[in-house]
Amino acid sequence: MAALSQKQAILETSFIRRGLDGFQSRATVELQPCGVTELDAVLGGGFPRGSLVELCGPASSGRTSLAYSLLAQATERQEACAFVDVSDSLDPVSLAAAGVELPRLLWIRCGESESQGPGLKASPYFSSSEKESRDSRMSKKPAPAHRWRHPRELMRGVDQAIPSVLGKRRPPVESAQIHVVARCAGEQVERDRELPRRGIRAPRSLPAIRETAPARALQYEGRNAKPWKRLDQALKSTDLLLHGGGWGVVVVDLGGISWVDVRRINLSMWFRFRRAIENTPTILLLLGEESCARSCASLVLRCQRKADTWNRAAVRLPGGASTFEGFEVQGEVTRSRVLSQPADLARWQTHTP
Amino acid sequence: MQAVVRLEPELQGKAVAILAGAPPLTKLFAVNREASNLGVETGMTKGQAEAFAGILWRWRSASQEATAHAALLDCAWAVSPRVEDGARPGGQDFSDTVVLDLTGCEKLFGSADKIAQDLRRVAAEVGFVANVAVAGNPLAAVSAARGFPGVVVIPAGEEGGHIGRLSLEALRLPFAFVETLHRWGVRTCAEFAALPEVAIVERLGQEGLRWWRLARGADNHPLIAKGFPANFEEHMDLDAPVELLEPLLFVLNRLLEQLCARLRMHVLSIGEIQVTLTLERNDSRNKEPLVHIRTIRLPVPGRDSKLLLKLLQLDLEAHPPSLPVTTVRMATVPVKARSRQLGLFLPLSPDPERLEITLARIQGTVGEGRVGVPVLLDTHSPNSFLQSRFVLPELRERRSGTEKQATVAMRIYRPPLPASVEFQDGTPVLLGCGGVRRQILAFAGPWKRKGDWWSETVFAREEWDVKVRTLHPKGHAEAAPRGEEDIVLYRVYKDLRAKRWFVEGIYD
Repeated sequence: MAALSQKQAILETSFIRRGLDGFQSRATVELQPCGVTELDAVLGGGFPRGSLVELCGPASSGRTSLAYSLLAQATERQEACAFVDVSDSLDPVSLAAAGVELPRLLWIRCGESESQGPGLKASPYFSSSEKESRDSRMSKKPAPAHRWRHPRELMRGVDQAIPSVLGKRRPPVESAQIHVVARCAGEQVERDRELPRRGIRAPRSLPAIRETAPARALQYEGRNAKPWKRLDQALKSTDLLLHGGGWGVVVVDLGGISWVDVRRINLSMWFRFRRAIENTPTILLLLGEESCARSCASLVLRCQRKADTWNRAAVRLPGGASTFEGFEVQGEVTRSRVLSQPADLARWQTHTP
Repeated sequence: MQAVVRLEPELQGKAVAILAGAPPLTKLFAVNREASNLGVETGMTKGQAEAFAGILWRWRSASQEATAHAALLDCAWAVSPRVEDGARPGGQDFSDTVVLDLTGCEKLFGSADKIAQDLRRVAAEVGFVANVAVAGNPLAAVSAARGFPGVVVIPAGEEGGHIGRLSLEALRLPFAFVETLHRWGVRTCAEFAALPEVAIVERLGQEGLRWWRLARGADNHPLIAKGFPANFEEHMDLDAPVELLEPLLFVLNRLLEQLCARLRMHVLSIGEIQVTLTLERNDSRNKEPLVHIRTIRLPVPGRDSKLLLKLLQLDLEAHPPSLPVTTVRMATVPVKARSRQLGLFLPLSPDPERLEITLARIQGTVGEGRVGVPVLLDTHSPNSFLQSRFVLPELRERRSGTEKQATVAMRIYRPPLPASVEFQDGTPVLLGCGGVRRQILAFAGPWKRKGDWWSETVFAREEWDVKVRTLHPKGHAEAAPRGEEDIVLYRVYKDLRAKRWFVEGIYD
């Protein structure tokens, strides 16, 4: 055993001589309490500073509540914090109710804005693969409001889009409006919109004019389309924030994005972020459905809702409940490089404001 | 000449001529020493001057001269609060001259010679090659500064002797006066000063008397101090319209550096900066200038020209001018420099100067109005918040830590999702949204919220908290999570005015 430790010491010394100081034993990690006593006790004092922490869990699992609690603690210590809101879902009222000092919180709302963000091809953050082209094609279809759709719905409208593929010939739709335009203009009419002439040219189908309102799913295309642009904006903003420095907690809320899409972010991005906050007091907190930063995360905490509380005081009401009062959350440490061991559990109660 | 060269330092050491006047009467207004050595003289027509090779041409700009004169005044204010503006409204004779009162300044800055050397150095910082003279009265100092190059200190009472050695041309007398005096046999200032005063007035008038006093270097007129300016401006006329941002940034950089140098003399910082770009008009009939104005307010006063340039660059990238730029004017509102006590135990916060650039870059990424601090409005209306500019708040006394409970957070859907709710015996049983129906397992409500009935932002709604299990189709049933993970808590509401249901958000 003594020989082993001696060998390790020799090895470390040689690494240090070569300038590989990172192989030295880590210094004591400073911890930031998250405001939940039960969880702080399990984590040995709180979340590790200067590291990437992931809070994952499904919807309604309490991950956002825990993030707000951490922000409240940080802003109470008068630290500046940032919230990168990928799906523009932050509720300032909940934030204030959680005790967050709003003037100390920078809120960045990603989304489809008027700014000309780079397209996916120009973005260095996503891994390029064949899947990308397939996904981009799929994103052109009306996306569902929720995670999955029935295959029957996916086929809806295909026959109208590519009639020649299915062997159906649709009669050309005559549009009075288009004819008037063509006659008035006289020249410079698109070939597809020209009036039928004598000759051998086969009649072309005119584009159909939509007379009815678009399908309901289309109205939410902006929200449910593939989130590359929003993710790109979020990663760029986070990069700028972390390299600017001086932040106590930076939250990247990926909770509204499918974990399948989030996993397509290059791992090198998370390494870059982790490198940027190393040896700084900043905590980079990722909220998501599943862990995506993998080995870059110093702490991965999986949240799960265990039981919800409904006030049964007003039993005269038809449903028997009058108010929703909160739920119990279980936090499970699935990865930790700091103090606590994996599979540590903590349970705490959240309350409605 | 110096008004042009200070904004274009690359012209130093080259032969430069300044043109003035409308074509075809364009003449050389000023030439520098290098151009004179080539044979170019003031007063030549442009056609004559074009015969000389290697001359760089610039057009005279009155606004550029005015800003250069303001910069010269700033140099003087850096030493003394009592500064007389040399420019006279009647003519251009003294527009390159300022007079300052050094009485009492010796105790602060040292001897008169040291102050003069400092003044010359300060003027060099803003791009001027200045002659500095110290004398017993203002006129003697002006004459000595015009006649002697570099720094001259004339002891009190010896003004006449020193100035008398100068030639008449050194005082920059008008050509008609010089010609007359030469005919009289007068060549130097001493000879001119020796002439009787009454005879000068009789023959040369009041103008001649003024020059005679200047040649004598003896005048007891009081110094008329000028008030301190409220803002600082720099102006530059471009030779050719600039279409791209990058060359425009070079111009902005020069103006910013000059402004920062001037403000540094007064220990002031920039609180607000306004850039006015005059655009080229395609329509020649309309003479009204077309301007593009951008204003940047700094939350923390700063004087770092690189930082300000970056802010201007990001702002102009977001709001580019629509036409080529012909003139650039930059005005700043000076404020007192920030004083801050640093400490070892201050809470973590970003550097204010770097933060501004970071915010501007993020704004360029996510769009305008999407970066800031959430501010709650004093109303019960849903989604009642604003997003204001992020400014680091002042530090306050830390309060004793109070035990806080973890509160349930809400994730909002923007815009809310249209939904349908089916009731059975007065209780909600099914929630439909996005083509999927969900069974309601538990609910609480309704909570009614109404308000703003007197305005256009009227709202009336019934809110419910519901717990639903997602109804998966058969194909997804096996892969779907079981148990509590499959159950979600929503807040839904019915818009009582539109009679429609929406999902507002999800408890998380």
